This record gives sequence, structure tokens and C-alpha cells, in this order.
Amino acid sequence: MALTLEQVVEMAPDGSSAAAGKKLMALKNWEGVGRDADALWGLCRGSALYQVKVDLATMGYHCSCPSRKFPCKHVLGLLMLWAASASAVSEQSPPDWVSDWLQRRRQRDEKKAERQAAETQKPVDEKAQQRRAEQRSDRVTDGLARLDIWLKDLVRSGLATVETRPESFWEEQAKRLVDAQAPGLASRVARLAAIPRATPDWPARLLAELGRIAILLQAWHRIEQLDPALQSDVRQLLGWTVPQAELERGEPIDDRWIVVGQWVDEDDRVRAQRSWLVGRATGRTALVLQFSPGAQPFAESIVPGSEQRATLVYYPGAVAQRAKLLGRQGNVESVAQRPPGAPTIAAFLDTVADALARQPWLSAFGCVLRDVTLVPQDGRWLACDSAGHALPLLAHDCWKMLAVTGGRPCDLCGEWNGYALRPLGFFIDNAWGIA
Amino acid sequence: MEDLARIALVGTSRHPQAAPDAEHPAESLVAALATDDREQAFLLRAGARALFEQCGRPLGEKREPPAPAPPESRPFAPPQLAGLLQNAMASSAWEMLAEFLGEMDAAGLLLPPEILPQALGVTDADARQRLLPVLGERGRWLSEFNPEWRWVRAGVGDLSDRDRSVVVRRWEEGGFSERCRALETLRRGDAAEARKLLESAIDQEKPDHRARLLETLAIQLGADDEPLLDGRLGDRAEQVRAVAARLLARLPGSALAQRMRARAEAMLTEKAGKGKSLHLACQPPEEIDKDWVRDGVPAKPPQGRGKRAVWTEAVLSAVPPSVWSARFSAAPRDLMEAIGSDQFAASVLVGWTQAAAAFAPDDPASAAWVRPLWDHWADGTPRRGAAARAEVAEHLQCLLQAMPADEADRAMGPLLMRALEADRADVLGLLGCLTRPWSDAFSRSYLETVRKAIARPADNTAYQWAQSLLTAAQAIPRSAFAAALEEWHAAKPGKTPWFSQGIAREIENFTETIRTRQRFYEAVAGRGG
Repeated sequence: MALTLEQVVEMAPDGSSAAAGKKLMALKNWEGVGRDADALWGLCRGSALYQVKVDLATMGYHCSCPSRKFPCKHVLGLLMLWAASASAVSEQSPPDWVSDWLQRRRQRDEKKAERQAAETQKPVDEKAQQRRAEQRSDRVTDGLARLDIWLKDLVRSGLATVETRPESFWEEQAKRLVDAQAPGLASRVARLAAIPRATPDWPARLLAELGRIAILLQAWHRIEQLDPALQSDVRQLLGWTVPQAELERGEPIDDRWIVVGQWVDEDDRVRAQRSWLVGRATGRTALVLQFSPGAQPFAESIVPGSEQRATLVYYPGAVAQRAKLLGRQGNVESVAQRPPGAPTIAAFLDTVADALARQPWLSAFGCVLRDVTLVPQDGRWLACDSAGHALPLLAHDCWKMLAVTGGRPCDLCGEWNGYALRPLGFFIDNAWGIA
Repeated sequence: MEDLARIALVGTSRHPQAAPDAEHPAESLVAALATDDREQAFLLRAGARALFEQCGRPLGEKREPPAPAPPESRPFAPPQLAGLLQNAMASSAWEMLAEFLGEMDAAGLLLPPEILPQALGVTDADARQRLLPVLGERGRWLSEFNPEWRWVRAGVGDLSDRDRSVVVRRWEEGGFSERCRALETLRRGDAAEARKLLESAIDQEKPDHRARLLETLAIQLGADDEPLLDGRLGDRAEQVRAVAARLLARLPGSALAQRMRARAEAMLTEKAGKGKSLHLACQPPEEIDKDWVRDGVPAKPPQGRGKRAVWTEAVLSAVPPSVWSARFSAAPRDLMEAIGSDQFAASVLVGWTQAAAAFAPDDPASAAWVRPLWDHWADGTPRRGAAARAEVAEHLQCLLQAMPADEADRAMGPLLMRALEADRADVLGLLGCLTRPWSDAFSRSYLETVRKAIARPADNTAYQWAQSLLTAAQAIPRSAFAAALEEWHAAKPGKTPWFSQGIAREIENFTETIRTRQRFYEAVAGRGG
């Protein structure tokens, strides 16, 4: 099964692009629409005749129009046309302008891989590298020591004082940490600004976060005593990036990966797209992150509710969670079978506890909760499992989900933050829907 | 965590002897820390406890989810329809939505569940009425969870207490047009309550607002409304008196209706002794007294018109024309003939026309006058001057609205042909009064006529014909879709490209709407596969 209309709408950069795409989805706007195993293409009559093509293996796309929106309305229109009436798109051999484009794309990917390979083989000045690493460690140590003082001051004088502090109070500390080359910890500190006054129990939540940061400082202080996987976690949490070569040394995992949910965190200056994947055969969960400054599109098209044979590798760490897509082999298809998941809320929370015990700074857990029922309650929403246990949802409007499920149990996909579950998708009647 | 949070809130400096709860299971983790820095120990303890509590999150008490929606007896419409319905709702295309919903109901289909929240949020009363039969068990079940969707249970016309208070608040606080709509809504649900509200407020209103508000009594007009209307006959403003008089005339038992009938019978008499054929004479009075004026007859005629002619129209339009058929024992056509050469014949015919249109819905004998009068206005020699032609179109429009749908279709076809021959477009406004969908035969004759009209050199008349496609796009039945989608031959550009561009745009909008409707019908028909 190809993508659904809903999924294509989800790919649109904004509402007006989606609407413009819908207007173009009628066959009369198109010429020479066709597809083969690798690509989908068509000519769209706009101000000129635009060449629109989609790489079905990666959902990469290109259109000859001058639009600065990605994907543009022509790409969306073509995908919608295909989603709505797959029979109107016949299989045929691609015209030259399509096969050339695909070939160029593949060549570019190959070149990129070669370049990376070359880089890893480049002789390195080990001495200089060593010196740089030491310098950075020293700066991080200094920065963390200053943060430690600030944290202690904060609890000494009392958290009540932060209630009226402007956001800059937190940002200043975050900036200092960036200067100290600990950008990961910097954004953790910047996020603290959202906690005061957000919920009635904010002092406890803020204290919990401060406590976890204190533990992280402690862990850095005694990093040699940790096992290598956790050492890697601590370094990533503080802001070290994992070198490409080290990442690729990880074990590649082939599976049919299901994108069970996705959301874009727009709080930071850099938008972060968070896609939760579940392996059909392995049952493993993975978080794929993509970042984009401003309104630029994300590099890869990862479509929620889609499924594809792909190879993925986990980042090093005590708990395998964040991952990188190494290669996408099959075509992107809609999820048409139940994804694997936790049979009960208790079982899911057990896995959360297990992961936290090994890596105490994890703050988000993707999940598929099987057979849960949606319960509206005084303007709030709950997900109730077959055993009668419930988790609160982080959402105001779940009416569409309630309408489609009709009070029947469904498989709910979401992201648990320790307090509430952000619903991202649900599976019922052999189809996946956006929550 | 709560106790630590309390300490943290005021600051550890004010809790010098804050003793750790040694019983807490997380203490074993903290004990290994060996730090003598109080704040650091406090923070690490908080971190450990937070983690401990998160790992051991209690599952909470068990809950019983609400019973699921009952099974449906009809199938859901295919998902392709969801997009079309959603677009119609989002763009407030109520007419197209009404058609779609009616068709779905007839085909035994229910709304696709994913669009139920949007559908339940619709506030338009007519649209709600259409939605009710296609909401299904799922929609009714869903509506119980949201107080704003109570209308599903309470019924559309039947105002729930909450709806009533919303309507009354709009009446009390809204802008003028909002207040009118509120009063109309209330009038449909509870006529007496609406009348009471109107009665308590009407004296404080401006004259034109008084007239417009009084007009709402036309909805569910009944004998109970007579006292209020009768009182308004004494209103200072003539336009208010006119509305009150018109409404009272429609109440057959009202005192005003009786008075008007007596005046009319005194006015219109049989001329004696002129052979066998019937001749009528109209003799309006030379002067009228205060009672006439009180009953809404204008004391002074509008500029350029004779007072006696105006009085004739005012009086005759308030009397059912069936009165004359009975009184002179003659058919409408004979009576129209009989007034023939009278000095006031034109005014008599106008009065009859207005009366026939007003009384036809409730009085079959008056309805028999509609077609003869239509023929009179439609076949009469074309008048000179835009104002006179507009007046004729107005008469035709009242009559058309009083005709049953099939008769109206039959009447319109020839009128359009004649308009085309005369290269005029002044009757096109009447198309909007026809019941929808149009008949297949009329649609085809309309399409044929309009195709000819816009194939002519593009000018204002051709453009007006093209604009009538806007009405037709919603009114043409699906049996005529193929005819509607046959290739359109664009008009030749006239003196300016403006008209030909406008015509091309109208054609494009028209075919787009027809195609959308066609897609809808195809989706309904092809629901199996």
C-alpha cells in the first residue's frame, strides 16, 4: 500500500502548501504521470510545465518550479494524486529526465560515502588531536564547576526566587555552557526555563531536573569510574558529537522499520524533528533526530505511519535509543499491520524503569501501547489499557482519535516524558492514523 | 519528593537542620556519596529520589473506560468522501454540503468517523438538520462527551436550555444583524418566547430596525401575533406600519384582513349592462381617511405615481385573489381580461400579482392565479427602460417563488429563450429562485441557451449570462453533468479583454464545481471498490 492522503498532508511544510497541493491532485492538471519500482513522476501545468519527481526509496523529491517551499505544491499534488487514485498511475519505464535525476542522486550519495570513507582514512595528527581533546575537557570541567556553584546557590537561596525570573536568567547560564563547549548541557539548562509555574507541582519537577543535572556533573567528575557505554552517554549529554566512524562501527540492524510517530520540537532556535521507529521483526524502538535551522526542510523525508526495509545503527550508550538511518532499501509503504508494542502500561513502565536504571538522564521514551482505550475526562485525556490502568495524555484535542476508535481499544503510539504521554499516532482497523 | 521540594522552595539556608528521611529507599544510593557539601548532597539526593520515583511510578487506581459506540446499521462512506466533505465544511459551502449529505443519506451511508468532530462543530442550523441522519451511532455516541455537541440529542429546532441562553445573550448583546438572526432562531424554536422578547424591546429601536425585527414574526405567523401586530399599526413610522399591515393581511381571521376585504370589494365592481362578457371597474376613493392610513395604506404616494393607483395596489395586494374568482364566478384569466381597459387596470394587476404570490402557499384557489399572471408579465410586450423592466422581473420573481418546482422549471425555459433572442440578461436573477436541483429537462435547455449566449462577442450581457453559471453549478442535477462538462467555447473577445477573461473565469469555476460534485457521486457509487 502506498502512502495515504493524510500522510502526504503531513509532509507539507505548512497548511497553505497542503491546500495548494490538494487543488493539483486532479488528474487533469497532469501529463505523463507514471511510476516504476524506484520513482514516481509527472509533468504539472503551472506557469510553465514543471517536472516533478519522487524517489520512492527515500521519499526524496525534486521539482523544476522556482518555489522555495519544500516539498512544493507540485510534489505534494503528485503524491496526493497517487495516494487518492493509485490506479491512475501506471507502471512504465521512466523518461530520461527522471532516470537522469535518479542517477545523479545515487551518484551524489555514493560520492558522499566515498568522501566520508576518505576522511576516516586520512592520516591524523594524533598529537594535535590529543591536545585539542584535552583543551576541551579542561574547558568543560571549568564550565561545569561554575554551573555547580550556581546550582548550589539556587537551592541555598530557594527556588521560590526563580518564579519571577525572566527567561534570560536561564539563558545566561546556557550561554556560558556553550562557551565552555558543553552545548548539550546548555540546552538542558535552557529548557529549565519552561518549568516554573507551568504545572502546580513545578517546584518538585524543577528540583528533579536540577538533581539530575547535579548527578550529571558528578558523573563527569568521576567519568573514569563509569563503564565505557555510560561514559559515551555522559559525553553526548554534555555535547560531544559521536564521530561518524565510531557510529558506523556499531552493529547495523536490518528490519522493516515502522515510523510510529513523529513531532517537531520548535522550542529551540534549531527545529528538532523526532521520529520514533519500531522494528517489525526485532521489536526494538529507535529515535531518529533531524535538525533544521529556521524554516528549512529536514534532510530526509521520514513519513509518520510509513514502513520500510532499512538499516539503522544505534548511537553508543548504555541504552540503545537514538539511532541513525544508514540505508533505506525497500519502497516506503503505509503501515497496514499492527506494530509490535507493549501489552500493558505496566509492561511499558517496566521497560522505562529498566532503561532509567541504566541511563538515568533519559527523558523521553517512545512506545506503542497495545489495546488502549481513549478516555476523555473533564477536558483532559487518558489512555486506559486492558488491565484498567491509565496514563495521562499530553494533548488538548483527541476528538478525531476518539471518533475513529469509537471507544474501541487501539494501539497508541506516543512519547512518554515521565509525566504524560504525547500521543503521536494510533493503529486500528488495519490502518495508522495521526493522533 | 514533595518534602524536598518544600525545602528547596524556601532555600536550604533557611532549613539548616533539614534532616534526610533515612527511611527513604533511595537513601542507600545517597549514602555512598560521602560529601560534606550540604547543597551538593541535597541536590544529589533530589536527583536520586526523582529517579527512584520515576522508576517506581505507581499505576494508580483502575479505571473503567466508557462503553464503546454501538455497532452501526449502515456503512461508513468511503474515505475519499471525507476530503470533499471537509472542504465543503471548511469553506462554508453549505449548499454543496447539503446536497452531499442528502445524497449520502439516500445512499444509506454515514459520515466517515474522522470528520465527525468537524461536523459536530457546525453551528448552521440547516446544515445540522442535514447532518443528523448521517452522524450514525458513532456520531451520537461521540456527541455525549462534549457539552457543545448537545444539539445532537436535543434536536436542532428544539432549543436546549444552553442554546436558548446563548441565543438570548446574542439577542441582548449582539450587533443588529446578529440580533435578527438570534430572534429568527428563537422564533423557529419557540414562537411565543420570541414574540415576548420582541414586544419588550421594540419601542427602544430605530424605525428601520423596528420594521426589520417585526418582519421575523413572518416565521410561524399565527393568530397569537395579532395583538402585537395590531398595536404596531399605530407606529409612528410608515415602514413599520407597512410590515404590520402586510403580516396582518396574511392572517385570514384578523380584523385588518376583514377591513381590507371590505375596502377592496367596494373598489372593484362589475360594470353593468355591456353585453354578455364580464367587465370590471376599479374605483378607488378620491380621499382616504385615517383608518386606511393606520392599516398601512400610504397617505402620500411615492414621487411620480398617482395616489389612487397606489391605494389600489395596497388594498388589492392584501386580499386573496380567490375572493374575486368566487365573487364574480369567473376564472382568473377571464377576470384579468375583464379589467382590460380600465383606467386602473395596471394597478389592479400588480395588486393581484402580489396577492397571488402571498396567498398561494395556503390557498389553492389563489394559487390558480399564479400561472395566468406569470403569462401576463412574461408575454407582455417588452417595456422600455431599465426601471420598468426591473419592475417586471420583480413581479415574475414573486410569482416564480409561489409556483411548484416543476411548473417553475417549465415557466423559466421559454423566458430564458426570449431573453436570449432579445439579447437581454435581466431575468437571470430569477434562476436563483428555482427549487434545486433543477429538472433534467430545464437544465439541458438552460445549458443550451447559456452556451449560445456566451458564444457571442463578449460584452456585459454575455458576462451576465456567464455569471448565472454560479447558480447553475449548484443546481444542475447529476443526470446533466455530462452535458454541463461538454467543451465550452470561449467567447470571442469584445472591445476589452475584461469581459472575455471574466467569462472564462466563470466557466472554469463552473466546471470545477460540477467536477467536484461528480467526484462525490462517483465516490458514493463506487463505495464497494
